[in-house]
Amino acid sequence: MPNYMLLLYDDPSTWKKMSPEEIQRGFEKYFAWREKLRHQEILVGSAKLADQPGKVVRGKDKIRVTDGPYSETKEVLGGYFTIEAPNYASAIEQCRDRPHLEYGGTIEVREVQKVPEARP
Amino acid sequence: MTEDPDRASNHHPSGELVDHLFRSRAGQMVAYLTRLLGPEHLDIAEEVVQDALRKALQSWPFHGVPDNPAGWLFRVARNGAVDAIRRINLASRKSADLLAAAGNLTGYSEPASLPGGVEFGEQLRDDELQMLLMCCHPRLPREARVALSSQNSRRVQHQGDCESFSFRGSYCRAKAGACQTPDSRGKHRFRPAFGKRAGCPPRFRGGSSLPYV
Repeated sequence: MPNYMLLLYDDPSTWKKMSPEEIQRGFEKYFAWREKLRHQEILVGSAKLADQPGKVVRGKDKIRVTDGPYSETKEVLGGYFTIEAPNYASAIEQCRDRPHLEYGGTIEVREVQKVPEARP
Repeated sequence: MTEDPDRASNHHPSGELVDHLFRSRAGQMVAYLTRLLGPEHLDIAEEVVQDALRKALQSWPFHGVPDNPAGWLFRVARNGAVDAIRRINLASRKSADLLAAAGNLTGYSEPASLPGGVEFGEQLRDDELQMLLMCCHPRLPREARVALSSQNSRRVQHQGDCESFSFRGSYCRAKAGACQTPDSRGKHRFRPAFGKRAGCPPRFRGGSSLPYV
């Protein structure tokens, strides 16, 4: 079955001003979602990216390295889940109740490309 | 939700521990840290506890709940508090010097009544120019120079004093580190453009001796 990456973008400032009660509720929703994937045995992997601005490397002849993206940016890639799904429709279905959307984030759904087998 | 959160989290061995963790531990951790830091630092205690809870909310759903979730929160909050105290100590050591330096500025009130009149106004402009040159210092990475000096030149412009720089790129792009305004030769186009306004002080005109950012 193909793998799909769910790339989670959000505004980091969303979480700055939450009360412990709100964090508790948010956590329960997020964790339930992760558990749902685990129970269906379609969770391949997941990781959270560190909060600090990372580095952006560019340049053809002369390599330039800058800090970024900054946390003031409204949409930062915060983490990803990789799940197994038969098709896009099914992968998107798994996102529907992702609390991430409720908190104003967006999810980019991408199928992981399988390397075509070389013909003999 | 298609699934009851409580039921779902209970499937995890740490589920029950987490059910009321944030609610129940928040007050406890604030109290603990306030005792360690002293009551005058209650705001720091609250801030680092909130930060620890937020980090848990953001990372546990990806990585799973750690074996000892309460211990994890305490450790992260305590580390945050130590960092905050270090910052305060550093600031207070520096603040003595800053206060001494600020003592020289007691005469400062309004630009119209500056001590020394015109000369002092000149001094302020020199300070601004110095600031711009500092922002353009070759030791800084080029991207930082672009961001710093465009930020600064905007401030100078806002004061209506002198339109010293006109950057085609926007400040936002520069700050994001993008710096992508390539022309045909691949040279970036953030160029100083002096002397656009009649009221510009003479020594700001020309600008040929000033560095490109």
